[in-house]
Amino acid sequence: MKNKINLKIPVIIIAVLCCMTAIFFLYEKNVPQKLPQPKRIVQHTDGRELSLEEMVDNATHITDAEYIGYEVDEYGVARFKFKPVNTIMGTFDSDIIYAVTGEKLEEKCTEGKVYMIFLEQIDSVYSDVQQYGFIQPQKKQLTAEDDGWQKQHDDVKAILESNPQLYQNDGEEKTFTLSNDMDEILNCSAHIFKVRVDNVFTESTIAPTTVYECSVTATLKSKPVNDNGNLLINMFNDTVEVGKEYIVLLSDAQESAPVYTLSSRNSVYTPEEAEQIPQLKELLSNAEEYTTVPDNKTNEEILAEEQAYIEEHGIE
Amino acid sequence: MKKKSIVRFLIVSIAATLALSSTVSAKNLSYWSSNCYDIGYMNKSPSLYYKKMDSSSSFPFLTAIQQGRSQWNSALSTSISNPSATNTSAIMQFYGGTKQQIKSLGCFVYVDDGGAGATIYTSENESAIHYYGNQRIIEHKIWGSKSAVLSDVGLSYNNCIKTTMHEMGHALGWYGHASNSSFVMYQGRSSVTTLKSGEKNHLSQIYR
Ligand SMILES: [Zn+2]
Repeated sequence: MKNKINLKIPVIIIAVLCCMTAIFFLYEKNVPQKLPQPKRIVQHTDGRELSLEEMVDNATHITDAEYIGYEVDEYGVARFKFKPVNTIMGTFDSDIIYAVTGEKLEEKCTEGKVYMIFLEQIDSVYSDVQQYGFIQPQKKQLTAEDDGWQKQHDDVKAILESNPQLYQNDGEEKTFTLSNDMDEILNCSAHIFKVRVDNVFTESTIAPTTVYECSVTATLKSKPVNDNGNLLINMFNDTVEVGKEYIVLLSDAQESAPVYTLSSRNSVYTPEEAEQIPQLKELLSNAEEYTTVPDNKTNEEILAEEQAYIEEHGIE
Repeated sequence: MKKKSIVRFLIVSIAATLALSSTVSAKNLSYWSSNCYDIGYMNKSPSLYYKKMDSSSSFPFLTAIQQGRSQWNSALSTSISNPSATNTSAIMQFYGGTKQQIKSLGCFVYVDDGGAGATIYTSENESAIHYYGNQRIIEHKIWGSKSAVLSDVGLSYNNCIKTTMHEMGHALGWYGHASNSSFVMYQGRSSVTTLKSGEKNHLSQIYR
């Protein structure tokens, strides 16, 4: 009996030591059950300072506005609230506007004070709220008490007057519609394709969207801009399945290898759904088959191309 | 040894382990080169996903990724994986493209016309408190990141290498910026393409 106990003790001690080691490493590694979402998205943005003229060029709206605080949306993105009191360029539809930046603007601005701010209107079919991008948040933000306040107003006025036509902000024409009316949606759809969803390209963590790699299998309206037919399309989460085909109605893509965006919030249909919509049914009956050419370059091929370019052109 | 003492031994050892685990990670830091008091770390072999959306050969994006990877790996004794164009669940994700392409991805907060690169942590949590002298430093464990490098904003070859290495530094846990303009982690546009010891030390003390 005594012998048995003597054997048990070392076994228990070893077991306890093993448990301790396991607990220690698990604790050290902090392995969470589910990956933690940041409470607040802070984006490190890098680049150069813009001149005042470049800021005016970048802006769709310039205004003196009272900073009234910020709120963080469900994805952790901060929206800074401003109340325009003297608008210098552009017009606003509401009394309070939402400016977005990944910087901690609350460390630069004091609630209740009026700042001269430069904004770029962000039009997105994926967002419920009209938002404005905050230009040059890293700079010191001028208030009426600052020495440069009047001079900056005079300089901006002079820039705007130097080319009134260029800076006349009529509001850019939207490339999407928030309407559910099919004729209206078709009007905004520069491209209509039948595509097969091949892969997830990237999932956004700041919006309810995912970009998919797709292959065009038929064209209903216009041809893909990149003529091999491999498309990147930004879609709402959980609206498509990889491997299946869809009819997609897309906004005008203005560059050579675009990430296509939807022309409305109702711009993705299964072929069966599309058959039920008269306008799409007609387009489908005239659709042209399309063969996508895969363009999967290896890392070695891409590196070789980049090296060849450098060898030919040198490092500027 | 009686049952009672075995139980006591068990309780004491578990309590000691937990206490030790939570205090062992607090460090007294010897270097600080950032303008903010946060710092982060990823695991020592982060997987890397990349997409060169602007495929033009004049945009040396993959060359830049490979240079950044090699220099940060040797600075931190990490092994960032070979860039994969298919591993969409990688902890470190790099997108190279035009301003319009990056904007349309919907993954980044607004970048103005001065922007050349950006990094966000898609998943992170505060993991420890350290001290640099009396200054409290918040350590973050980074579980996921996305970075962008812009191809059409007038970056020279070396500007592009610098920007990519710089974003990789942020992704690995370099919060804030260095005031020394000869550092890759300096914020302004520059052609510095070699990591300096000050910026390597800043981050490697967390990776030890
Ligand atoms: Zn930076």
